[in-house]
Amino acid sequence: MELKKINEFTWQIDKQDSMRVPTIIYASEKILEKIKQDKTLEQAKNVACLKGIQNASYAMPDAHQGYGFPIGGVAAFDMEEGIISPGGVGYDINCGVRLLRTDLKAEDILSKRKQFLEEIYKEVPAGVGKGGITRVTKDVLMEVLSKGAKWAVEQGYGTADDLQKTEEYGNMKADINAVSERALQRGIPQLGTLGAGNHFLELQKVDQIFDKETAKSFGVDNEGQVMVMIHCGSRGLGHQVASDYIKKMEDKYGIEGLPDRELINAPINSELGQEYYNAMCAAVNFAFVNRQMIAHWTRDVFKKVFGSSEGMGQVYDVCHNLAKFEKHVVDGEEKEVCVHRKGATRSFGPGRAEVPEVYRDIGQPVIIPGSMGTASYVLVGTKKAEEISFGSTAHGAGRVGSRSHALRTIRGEQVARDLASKGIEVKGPWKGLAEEAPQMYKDIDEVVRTSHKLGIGNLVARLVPLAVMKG
Amino acid sequence: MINSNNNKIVINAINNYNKYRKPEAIAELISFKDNKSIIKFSGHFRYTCCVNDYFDDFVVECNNKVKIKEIKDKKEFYLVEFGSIDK
Repeated sequence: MELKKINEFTWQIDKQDSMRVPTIIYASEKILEKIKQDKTLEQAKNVACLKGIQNASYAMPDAHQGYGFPIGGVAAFDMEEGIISPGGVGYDINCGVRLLRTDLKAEDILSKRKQFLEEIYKEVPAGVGKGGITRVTKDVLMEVLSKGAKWAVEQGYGTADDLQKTEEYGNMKADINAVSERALQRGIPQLGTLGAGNHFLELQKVDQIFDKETAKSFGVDNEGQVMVMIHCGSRGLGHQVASDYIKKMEDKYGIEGLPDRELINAPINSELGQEYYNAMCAAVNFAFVNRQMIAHWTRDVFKKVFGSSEGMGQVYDVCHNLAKFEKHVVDGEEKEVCVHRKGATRSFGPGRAEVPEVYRDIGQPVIIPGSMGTASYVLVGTKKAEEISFGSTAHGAGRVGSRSHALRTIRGEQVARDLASKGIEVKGPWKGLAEEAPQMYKDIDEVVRTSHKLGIGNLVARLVPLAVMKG
Repeated sequence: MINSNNNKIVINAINNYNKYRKPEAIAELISFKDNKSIIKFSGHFRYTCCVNDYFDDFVVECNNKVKIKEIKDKKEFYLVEFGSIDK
């Protein structure tokens, strides 16, 4: 597979064979070497063969192998000719990140971190098979799937300001009848849960501010300021929606002509394509509610442990697994396309109507979580991203090793000791700690440096962990 | 003693599971005894988020007639023990 170097951070696989557009990889040389270690490039090339794809198939700096589409993949499709694919969204629909600010300084909380973790562990269910504290009825779940985070705020979980500072304002219009009974049954016990895998709730401090003015606008005021990051998604409900529609799409459209059967899809404007989109939106809403409820409980625990939750406003809540209809410039003309971001974050610059008014002159906050024990970043969306990546950038560090490899080579106890030596408290199962050990991920600093140098998401602030609750 | 009805449920579930997930995730029956089945899960699903939801998927394919008893990571694959819900 021939990779052409376009510039220091851009690589291209030219259109060839059945590719309809080229494949573009945004990576430094260092990152590219890691990307080459799995099937990421082959998968990104396969995506370029899909019907109606626009401009190019893109791989973000943290790209790695996924199901059909690479994780860290971005592809936009024409609304008439194009397709929608569950594999281009991912199983954990609307996996995303929420960042809360506080008025506290790191030194105000250091001595109470253990207590915080004990209390948050009681409030927020996490880990494999842990059901939600809030058992809901099916009728209530239907309301959740329809209203998204607005439902949660109506029930007293958080504030209207949280909604303003959530991508899509915490709600995508969904036809909940498109969600199967099985998906509903999986969702009922899991509302308000963190889940297992790479999801976490982290107390962080602002370590470095790169762009003071933008940081201030986002509520990131000083180095040493305490922040809270929540990373989770739609749990089994989203997974079931993906499973259901992969089956339905295969039954209806088959896999003939696809370079990989995992790229099963339906025309966007078909009945089935629309049905999947509606079910996906319902799962998106479920994930928004999950993060809304967890944020609310986190504020409660702050009151209990640190005496107050004053000033705990939301910086933003971003999604990194979904497909959306957005307007972008293609061949010099603005048109509506269906943008799939799978392990990629929207990165809109100033002026976009989708960006909340409070940030509209600046660009949206882009939240990039690190892996456990490494830095996370706040970036700001850019016009350049809109021009060269359908308004997208990376979503995190991206794995370089499998979970089983981690378990073979790393012990959870050692991970906890290493983190403690860096001044980071951690709570979670040993196995989970080993699986998500920092050495299993690409270098987050290099990922965001690449994003910044390319101009698809510019550096605002660096956050480092103080205490980690692992799912 | 093997309950043939439960055995049939598990075999059908493996077939359906693999039909829609292979090669992403591949389920294989390792043993079935006293209404407990041990299934090997392999495939590159191990690299993605929400690994355990793939095991929950298997429960769903069994029409929720089994539950996860134990998950063992065996380096390149997982061995998951499922038991009957009435045990």
